[in-house]
Amino acid sequence: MKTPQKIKSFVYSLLLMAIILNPFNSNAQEDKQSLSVTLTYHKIVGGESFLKVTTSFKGKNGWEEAGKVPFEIYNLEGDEILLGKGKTDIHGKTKFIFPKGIIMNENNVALRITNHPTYEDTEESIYFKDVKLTAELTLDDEVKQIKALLVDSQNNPIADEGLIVRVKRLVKGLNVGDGTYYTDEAGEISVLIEEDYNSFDGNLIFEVVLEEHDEYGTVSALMNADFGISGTDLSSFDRRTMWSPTNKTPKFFLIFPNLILLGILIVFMYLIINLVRISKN
Amino acid sequence: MNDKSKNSRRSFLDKSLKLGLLGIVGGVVVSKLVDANAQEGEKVKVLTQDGKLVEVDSTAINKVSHGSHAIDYKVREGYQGRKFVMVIDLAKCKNALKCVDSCNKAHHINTPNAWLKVYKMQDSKLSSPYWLPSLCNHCDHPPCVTVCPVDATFKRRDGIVLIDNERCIGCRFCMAACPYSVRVFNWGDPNQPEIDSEHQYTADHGGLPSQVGTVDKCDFCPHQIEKEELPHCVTACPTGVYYFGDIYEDTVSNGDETLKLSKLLKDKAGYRLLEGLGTSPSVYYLPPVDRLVDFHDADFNFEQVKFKASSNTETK
Amino acid sequence: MSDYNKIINDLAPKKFNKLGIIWITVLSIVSIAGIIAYIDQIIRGMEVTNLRDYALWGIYISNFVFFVATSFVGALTAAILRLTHKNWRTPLVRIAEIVAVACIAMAGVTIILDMGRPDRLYNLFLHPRLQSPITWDVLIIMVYLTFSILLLYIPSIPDFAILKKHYHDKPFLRKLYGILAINWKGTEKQIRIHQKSIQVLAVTMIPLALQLQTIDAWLFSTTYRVGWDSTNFGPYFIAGAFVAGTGALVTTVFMVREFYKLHDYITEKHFDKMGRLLVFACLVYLYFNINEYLIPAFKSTLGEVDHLEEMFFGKFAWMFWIVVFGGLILPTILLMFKKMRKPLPMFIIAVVVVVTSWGKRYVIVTPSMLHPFLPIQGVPESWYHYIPSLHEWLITSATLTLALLIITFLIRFIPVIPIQRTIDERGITKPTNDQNL
Repeated sequence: MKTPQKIKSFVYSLLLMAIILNPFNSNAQEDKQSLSVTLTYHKIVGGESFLKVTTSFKGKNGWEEAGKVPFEIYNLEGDEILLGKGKTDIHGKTKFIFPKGIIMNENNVALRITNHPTYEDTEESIYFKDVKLTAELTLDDEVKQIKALLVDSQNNPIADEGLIVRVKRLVKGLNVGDGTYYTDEAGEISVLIEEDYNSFDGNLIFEVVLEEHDEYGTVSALMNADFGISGTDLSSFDRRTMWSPTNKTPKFFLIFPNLILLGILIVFMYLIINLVRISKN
Repeated sequence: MNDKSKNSRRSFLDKSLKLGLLGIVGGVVVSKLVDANAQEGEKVKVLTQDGKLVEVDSTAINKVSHGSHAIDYKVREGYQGRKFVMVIDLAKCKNALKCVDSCNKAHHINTPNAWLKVYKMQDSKLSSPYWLPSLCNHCDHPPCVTVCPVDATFKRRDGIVLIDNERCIGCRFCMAACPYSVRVFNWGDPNQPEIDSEHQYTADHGGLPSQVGTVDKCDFCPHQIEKEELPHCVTACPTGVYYFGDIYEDTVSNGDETLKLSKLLKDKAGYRLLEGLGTSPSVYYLPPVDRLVDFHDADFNFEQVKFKASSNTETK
Repeated sequence: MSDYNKIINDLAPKKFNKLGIIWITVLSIVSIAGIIAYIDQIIRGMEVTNLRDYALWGIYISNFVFFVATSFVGALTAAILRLTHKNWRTPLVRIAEIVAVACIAMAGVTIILDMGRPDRLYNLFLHPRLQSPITWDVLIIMVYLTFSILLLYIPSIPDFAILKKHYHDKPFLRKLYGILAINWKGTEKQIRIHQKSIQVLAVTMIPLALQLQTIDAWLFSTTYRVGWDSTNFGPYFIAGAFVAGTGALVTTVFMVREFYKLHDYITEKHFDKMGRLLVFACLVYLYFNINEYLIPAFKSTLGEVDHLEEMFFGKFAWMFWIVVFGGLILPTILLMFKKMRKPLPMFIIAVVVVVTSWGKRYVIVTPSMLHPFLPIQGVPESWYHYIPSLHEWLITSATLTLALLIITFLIRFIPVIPIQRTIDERGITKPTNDQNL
């Protein structure tokens, strides 16, 4: 009687051990970490509309990037529809680009993370309205002007809303004039471009941005221009310089050392030939 | 492989040429960037890293999510039409060392040889002491690159000086040649257990991983630029000491404010370190006037911190 | 026994005696210890050294410079003396050439010891940059090594032929010298080609030796570092190499003379001549030293002042003054007296000169490293200074003992004094009964 029981308890403890040591044990809901998701809505006029997704978790050193988290995006407005799937990059960031024609006047979208091995199931939703921003750049007798119009989806002008006008730059844009301009009764702004702007090839991209609006998100309209002051190429990359790689060695350094080496080689060959002549004698 | 990149470059050139022509023909035009009528499967113009327009299939856009390099990006050549520049405003530095921490974290520096250091400085006995953040100056005439025997460290078109840690033989001549003492050496194991062993090394993300017996230094964060973000030290600084930008755009930004480089340097009398050596650095300094914080007298001993001198300064 | 056979018997390489075996054993033990230390350095990385980001070059590099310097006179004196047809040179040139080969070979090894990634050495040939002084250095060391070997080998060919006959009853040596003698019979044509080859080789050797030293100096003077940034460095290094090389030559000649009892061949006259040469070398080097230290001190720029203060009065002062007084001024004064140019005093002085020459390289390399333009801050306190670690000492000692081992083994198989030339100069004719051999 006793022995089988012993075996039984042994087997049980083995099983218990297996459960504890199981690498998939983290599946157990209570061990999962809670995840923080931030969603911001962005729209480029005439271009894509997307959500910027950031996933992070509370780690030892405060909020840490939660990388490579797969998620699903649902439209909650009306019937619930799966809009698409995505996955954050190693830094816990990604852009979810909406399929064309999906964005309505009012939108209610949710991001869901389910059955992740290390993170709890999470849902984060965002509500945003569509807005129409049009901007145009006019050049008239040396007067450069940007005009922009902000209306809602029913074409009612939105007044007294701050629009940022700037030149696109490496990372952050450079403000044109004061930077922020408030729309008038007609939902319009007009900005004179008085300063000169530089760029490598003379091409500039101006943008009018409604930034981080509570209802409309971030909406930007881009304009292309070619009146930038182009610079001369400052790089020595294509030249033969002292700091060039092997294939762009300055000619002097190719010719001079190699001539010396050639001279040495000739002497060397001469000596070897002499040795052969001595031995053949 | 080669053909492919050639082709993509050619078509890229074609497109920019066409666009340029369009601009000229248009003369006084109103131009909109993106064709609003674009439909699935059609060509759409998108903006590349270097601020140029390229036409790609609209379906391709959806696949590209985040941080893709420009089409003709090569690690040893860098970004076309870019030249990076940094401005360090000494007046604002209070030795908070957040820059050092974030740089160390981002580049997995777990040994004492940080790439970014903040020095105590005093130019002469009666002049005031100040803090001087020091990082790679990405010189236009880089003495370190000049002396490299194996082409391991190189100067890119966009001005960045990088090190190929898979090429470096560890002779340390570059370190001897650098007058700014910004290069560090992995004397022992870099001790980076947090790095995924399958991670593919590229020279434009220094420290990922570092390799024993090779030289490391500040890489000007091309991996951040690729994500359209500022280098780690810039974003980490609580007082906005660091400004980063593109010299062709004449613009630098510290994250909070974006300024015209030429105006900033003119107004605040920007200078470069050891200008007389002719290294032509890409890092400018703004003089430490009206400093945000001052040293307490007790903290400071002039003899320990002479600038351009070299006594073995002891940090107490 | 005829004079001819006596000379051959005297000068033919001999087996090591008891003392020789002890000598080799001691050298081997040190070498093996160093090799073990180096293997440890490869496994654990260069953190086993006390080199750090500021003192990034230390005794490996100063030792390298020492070897390069020492290899200089070996070849240069040999070449110059050959070209000027000074007959007193005959018993000295071979030893000088042996020292040169050993030192330049070890110089090549030493520079590899300092590399963080010796496993990637091939990159020097896969991706060479001709703008880099290191590439020049690699090239010149390889060329110089090749030519030093030729300079040792080609003049020895007639001796190998003699030794081949001498050891006709010993199969291994007969075979070895047979190969080395490449069918030398001493015919008129052979002698003519031989003389011509030596002449060309000697002429080539002079620019090569100057290039070697100059490139070595350029490794330092192409940087901006205080103490290195000097247009004086090329000739300064050449003069220094002259001193180190002559010292090494005197030391080796004395030891060979005592070991092999060659008092009949290497006479006091030779020591007298070498003493004069050493005085000359020291004076030239002293002149360059004055240039190298006085002019910066005169101008006293901030960086130079710090550097020189530490050198003259600071923590490198003891070494600096020993090097300048013990290694340059004192030898010059002492060797002015004829009594001091006798073999034993010369030997002692030469040993001091060699040791201080080594120290001199340390004083050139290390203090400059610790005086960068920007202050040394934000690193562990131990990085502010540099004292070589046990690993560094072991490895460096091993390179020195390995050089001595190479010299020892070369002496074992190559006649240290040219036999054929000695015979010719003494006007001794071959006994006719040997003709048939």
